[in-house]
Amino acid sequence: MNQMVSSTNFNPELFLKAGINFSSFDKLKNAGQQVLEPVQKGVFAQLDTKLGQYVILHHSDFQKLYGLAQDVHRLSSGLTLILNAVRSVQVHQGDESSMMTLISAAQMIGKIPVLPTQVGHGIAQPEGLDIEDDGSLDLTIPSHRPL
Amino acid sequence: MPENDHLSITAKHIAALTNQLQELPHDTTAARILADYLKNEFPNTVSRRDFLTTLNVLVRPKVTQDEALEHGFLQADEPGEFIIQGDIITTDSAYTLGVRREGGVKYAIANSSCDLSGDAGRVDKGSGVLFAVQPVFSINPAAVSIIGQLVGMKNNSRMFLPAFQDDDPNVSCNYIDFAAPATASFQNILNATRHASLTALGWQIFASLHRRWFTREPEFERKMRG
Repeated sequence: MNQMVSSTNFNPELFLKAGINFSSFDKLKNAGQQVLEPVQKGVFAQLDTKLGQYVILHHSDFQKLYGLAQDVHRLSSGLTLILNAVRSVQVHQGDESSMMTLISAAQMIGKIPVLPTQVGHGIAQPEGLDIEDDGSLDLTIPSHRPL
Repeated sequence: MPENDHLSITAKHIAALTNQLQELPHDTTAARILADYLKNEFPNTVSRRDFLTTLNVLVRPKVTQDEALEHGFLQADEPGEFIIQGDIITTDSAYTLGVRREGGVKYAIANSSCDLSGDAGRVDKGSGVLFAVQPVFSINPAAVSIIGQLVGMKNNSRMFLPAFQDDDPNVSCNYIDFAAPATASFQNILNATRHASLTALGWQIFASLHRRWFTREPEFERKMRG
């Protein structure tokens, strides 16, 4: 049963694969920055130093994990609410308002089994009815990217 | 004090303050000057787009710690981590109406740089406003119209930005969407990935358009309020 639950919940988006391992800071320094090229989305490098062990993540992976951690923090607040409501029912057995608080809290959390997320902010549309096309713009020619 | 005298003094103060403030709180002259300049100096959409896309016109490489120290924004004993108004960032830790926006959305920071600087109390406790940076894809059938409006600075709620090197290859340009705000804690904003800073001109344009979007007034509004 546990195996089934864990395989259903496996999210390949969050899977991180270990890449290169640097056994000292000098090894990373001597290899040069190009050695970090394989550290792309989903792959991390490890660095062992005398100060401790470090993980080198691509910044997009860091943002993904960090963003998820914020949601876990939000979810833990909801669980705390339910636990407090359960304790209240235990202490005040038979108290109708304590029981109602527990039921309300459970219903509230039950309605959001997955915390809401959305990719991006939607597709661009022209604003208003003015069509601005003077014929000078050819989008088959990629525009310059300064940064 | 008799009630009539009180009312008359109040009315005098209202008239004096209204007179002194005049158009200032809702003035949109800066945005109009900008739109007129682009229209007069650049004959068409492509020349406006090319000007605004050039490095150091609107965007520049992110302001460095050395530059922040040199100009007194950071003090030598402060932590090196910093971020400033208008910086283009990516974060998966911003929320709109309780929904977390993921997928590497870019944002421009709305808060003034002072809100984001050294004062640890503010940074730890506060939260800031981010405006989504929306991509315009070249395959969007409306892309030519959208870009034409953007480079003319005609949209009330949008500011043109170039495409960035890590954008999808089909992204033709971007825009800051003042109508798509998100919030994030200051600490999460500090932990975002910084891509670029606005130049002094880009920052002035950002302020002008941002101000127009939030403070423009319909002709009748002042009268309606009495």
